[in-house]
Amino acid sequence: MSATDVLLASALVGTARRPCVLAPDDEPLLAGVLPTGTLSPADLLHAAGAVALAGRATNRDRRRVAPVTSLAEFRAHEGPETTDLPEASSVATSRLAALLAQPLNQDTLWGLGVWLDTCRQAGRQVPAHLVPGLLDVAARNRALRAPALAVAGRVAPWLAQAAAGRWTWVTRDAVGEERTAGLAATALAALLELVDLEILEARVDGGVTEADEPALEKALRSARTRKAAATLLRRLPGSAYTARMRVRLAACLAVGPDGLTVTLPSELPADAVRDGLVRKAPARRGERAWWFEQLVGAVPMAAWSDLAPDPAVLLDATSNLDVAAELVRGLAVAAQDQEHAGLARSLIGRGEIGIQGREALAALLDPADRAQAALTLLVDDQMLVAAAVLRALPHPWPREVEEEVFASLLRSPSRRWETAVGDVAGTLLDPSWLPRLTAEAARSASATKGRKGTVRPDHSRTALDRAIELITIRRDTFAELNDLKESR
Amino acid sequence: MDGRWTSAQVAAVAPDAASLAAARKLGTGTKLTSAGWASDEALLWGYCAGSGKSGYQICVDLAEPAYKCSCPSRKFPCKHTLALLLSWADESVSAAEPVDFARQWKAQRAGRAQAKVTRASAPATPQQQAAAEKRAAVRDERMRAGVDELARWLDDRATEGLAPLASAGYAPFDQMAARLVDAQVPGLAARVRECGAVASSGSGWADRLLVEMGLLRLLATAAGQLDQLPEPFAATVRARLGRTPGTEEVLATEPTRDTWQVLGSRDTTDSTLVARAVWLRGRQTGQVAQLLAFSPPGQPLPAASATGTEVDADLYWYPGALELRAVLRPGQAAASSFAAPAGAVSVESGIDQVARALGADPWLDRYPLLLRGALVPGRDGSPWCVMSEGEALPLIGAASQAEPWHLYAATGGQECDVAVEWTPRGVVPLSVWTLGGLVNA
Repeated sequence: MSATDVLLASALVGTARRPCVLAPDDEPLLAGVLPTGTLSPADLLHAAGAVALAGRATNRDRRRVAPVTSLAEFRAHEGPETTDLPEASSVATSRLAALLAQPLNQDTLWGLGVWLDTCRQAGRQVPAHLVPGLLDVAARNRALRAPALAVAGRVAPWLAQAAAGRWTWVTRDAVGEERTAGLAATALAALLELVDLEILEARVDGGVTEADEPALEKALRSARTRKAAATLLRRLPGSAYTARMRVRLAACLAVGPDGLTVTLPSELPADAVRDGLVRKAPARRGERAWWFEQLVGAVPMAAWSDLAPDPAVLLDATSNLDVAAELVRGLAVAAQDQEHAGLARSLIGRGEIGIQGREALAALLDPADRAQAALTLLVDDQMLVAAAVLRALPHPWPREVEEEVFASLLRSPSRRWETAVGDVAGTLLDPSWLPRLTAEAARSASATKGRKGTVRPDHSRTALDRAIELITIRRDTFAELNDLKESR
Repeated sequence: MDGRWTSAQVAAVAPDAASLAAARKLGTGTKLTSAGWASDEALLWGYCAGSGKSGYQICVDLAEPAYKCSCPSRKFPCKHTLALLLSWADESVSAAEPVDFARQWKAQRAGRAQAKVTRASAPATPQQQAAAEKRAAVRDERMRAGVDELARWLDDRATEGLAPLASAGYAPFDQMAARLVDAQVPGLAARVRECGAVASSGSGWADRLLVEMGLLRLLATAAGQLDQLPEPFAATVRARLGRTPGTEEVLATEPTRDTWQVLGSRDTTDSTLVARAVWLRGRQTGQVAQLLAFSPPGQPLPAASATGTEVDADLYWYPGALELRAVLRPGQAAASSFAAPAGAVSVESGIDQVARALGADPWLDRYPLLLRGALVPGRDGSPWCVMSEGEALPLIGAASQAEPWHLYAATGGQECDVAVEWTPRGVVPLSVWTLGGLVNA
């Protein structure tokens, strides 16, 4: 027994019941120092203290530790083609460090998004010591993952392999990218045998041909791959799938002398479910109307020609239909799936379609149409939708769009619009507008001050203030990351 | 170097994270106005618009540092002051002549300080001296009684066995600690209270408790023979009992002149105090030193010398067999940054340094080491380590210290200079110096 064990055995039950007898060779390191023989309680404690000190002084609890793969070795293993970008300057990284240290609210996430995008555009890389914090934030916020990986360099995969289980998404996301890149050359049929949903979904963004049809029909049979396969099949106007959908839709529609009439399907047969139609309606929607909406979305535009007049014209005739909203939403889904610009143009102004749907439609429009749509929405004060369209509008914006955003800011002083216009302008308006905005803010502040003789209280922040705050952050972030910031 | 703080130093004086975030927000807006800085008087001032009619007046005396703001906030320094400091650290405040309110405040402070010095330096009357001697005698008597009682209590525990203590909770320890507080030996009281926490600490408690009680018994034995101990060691024992000399007394001793490099700092909190330890290492002498500062929670600690800076200054040691705790005389030369610290050693040599220090002060529980080693992440349940040549020390501390991924990322898995604080259970990382520069834990 070691000295520690001897001492502890007596101390636990007490020297009264178990006297402590220490032999000289129990603790060789302290031979001659420790008392031996039967110990008094005081000497037992003295000995315990001395043995502990000897342990501390010699690092007695040491373990063998295997060395780790260094970043340099990890990189060498990958080959020389991975090069590093220059690191962002210390001014720029201190802003990132501050963002990462803040509580993760919407503003922080917005600031991080701006920082990461600007960093990528500037061709800079995050210094290694901030990468773990960045990966932690991105783990909880999916939207930041790709932007974070783009500026984290090889440090991210190196850390992910060292921290088993902590940042597994880093390697998973990177592998996903490589797989989709190689897709064009791979036969879809072979992929489907793997029934790999991730890959099938990636294929949704790519093209499909008639040759893929048998494989996709097969994929409809599995519940896992059904949704993706159905989406792909809708892009094949001549396929058996679209023919089946057309028959189902035709049963609901009738074109008479007084326009279009709709009879909702009374049941959803099993073969329709197998073709990807979902039985259960979203909350607060009628089940039958929901089936109809899905049918409309599943029929290719080309198939409409013999069912009803041109769908764009058809929209004008829907106003007196009970199921106008369902028809419009279904058409919006069809337009998105089939990337139909003409239909998107007619649908973009419709309020029945959600924000996300309209953002997707806006992406289908050509730039001139997008600008026009944005202008109309801005004038109508449909700010959330306008924001969706503006996000899809490439920079630089046409002058009249910028002017209209500016005008919207000025006429929306109330809190109601703060997030909408202020956020839109703050996120998207060109920073060159900043002087004009600040001048306007100063003017209105002095006007208020003159009237009431008080400083405007904090809670009445206007859309204009919000826009200025956000644009300032964007401008400063850009300047810092591009080393334009001069010392004041 | 003009005495301007870095934003990290400003962050270090913030009472909490919320204040700092609020200050950052204030700083980006237009609320902060007419700020100015007089570097020769170490005075910083400005106005900040608040919710009231007129803006708040802010002053900072950078020498102390001391803060003043006319806002009603009880946080100290308040968010307005922090915003001003941040803006100044960002080089957005230009030099100017001090405005009236700042000048007045500075003059008031100087007046108060002068009055205090006058009071303190007044010679003691014979009555006062006699009273002081009597107080000291009473105190020594109480201490002797307290130490004897502790020794008996510990021996009784060893006689009756430690096993019942596992289920007895904190009460027996807290009662003993309270009697030691009455006996004016706060150092012993704190150790006894810690034993209570160890007894309730779950698996392996008995080993740990026996170690703590063993060291405590050695201390009690030493304290009982205080008159016979050689002087530097007697001072060490007195310090461990909680009887440290005053700063004035320390400043009267012979100083050590060196270029002191700041290796890192660490804040620890107990129920009543926040303590900040700043660890220094002398470039020429190779001696390490600890500067300690205390404040109640929520109150600011004095602005710490930033890690990675060095100052050429006189350092005054607290008496003891191990020269570790020290003070710098206030108002010495300004600090400047250094690229890499001098004198990093292997983990094995670091353990030797600890062994030597333990030889001088067996109750030592924190000691700075500057190691040349690699950080190794923990795998399969084993802890993180700092390692060189196969010898390793485990890392402990809060999550960011026990699993310092940001430090590991900065090192790239290579050996570099790592400053750590040794404790009996493992080392707490403080900072690393890599090719890219300094990264704080």
